[in-house]
Amino acid sequence: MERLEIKQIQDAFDEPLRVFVRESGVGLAVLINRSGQVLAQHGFDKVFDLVGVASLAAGINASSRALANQLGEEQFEHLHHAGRARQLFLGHFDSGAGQLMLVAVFDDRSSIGLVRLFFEQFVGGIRRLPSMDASRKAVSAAEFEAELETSLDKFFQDLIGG
Amino acid sequence: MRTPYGDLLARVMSSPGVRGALVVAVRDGLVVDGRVHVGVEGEAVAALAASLYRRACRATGATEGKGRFVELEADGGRIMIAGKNDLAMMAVLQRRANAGQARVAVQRAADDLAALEGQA
Repeated sequence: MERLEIKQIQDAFDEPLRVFVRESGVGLAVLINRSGQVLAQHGFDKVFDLVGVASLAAGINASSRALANQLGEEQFEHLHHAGRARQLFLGHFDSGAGQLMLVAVFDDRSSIGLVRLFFEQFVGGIRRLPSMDASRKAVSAAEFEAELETSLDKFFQDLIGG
Repeated sequence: MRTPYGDLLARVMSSPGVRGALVVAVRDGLVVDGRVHVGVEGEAVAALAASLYRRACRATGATEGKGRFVELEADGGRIMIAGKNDLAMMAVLQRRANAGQARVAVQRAADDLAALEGQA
């Protein structure tokens, strides 16, 4: 699979995240990878520590994966923590950039039903992005060799010709 | 999974032109139980309609325990939502449905739903 640059990933996720936030009505949203690296965010300011939330969410994800394994599941689909005023949603999905996780914090202006609905649309939108196509096939050794040979031929022809 | 809402849903579904009936948790926008025809996306309807219902109740100052009813009309059909407490009855109607009959069925089902909530 092709390796994607972090900047390319961040740019690709910006607009889908903005749409998710607008449609679902969540207050805070952050998209992270499995190691807790922030790829996109909305709504964080000094009051809410972005890096703290991202690393704690990555920790929750790792713990829940271990718990799921103990219960014979590969991984839980979503996680939802409901507080009196605020609720937290964690949803993960596979993409061309590996497994990613969306963390959303919302109050009574949204609901878990809405967040789940628009999370599915968000994931669908991400998967439709050309740079995020998880099904892009890996280049085989034979294809790589043939491509390298062609490039070298062209390089030397240009060198000799020039 | 059997829930106590099967009879209520069946009654709403028996109104002509009703394509879906759902018992929805108002705060969460999640389906508690439902019957829908093929092509009706129950979970999406529940999430979106519950959100509108909550906002409408807030905007009109409707209080818990009192009957609340919201009706959305569009080119393709209607959605009716009625409830008193934490649960609401929703109905998805096709364009040429008998809206009057469905309205009565949804409101009666909502009353019975509130009674069931009271027993729980």
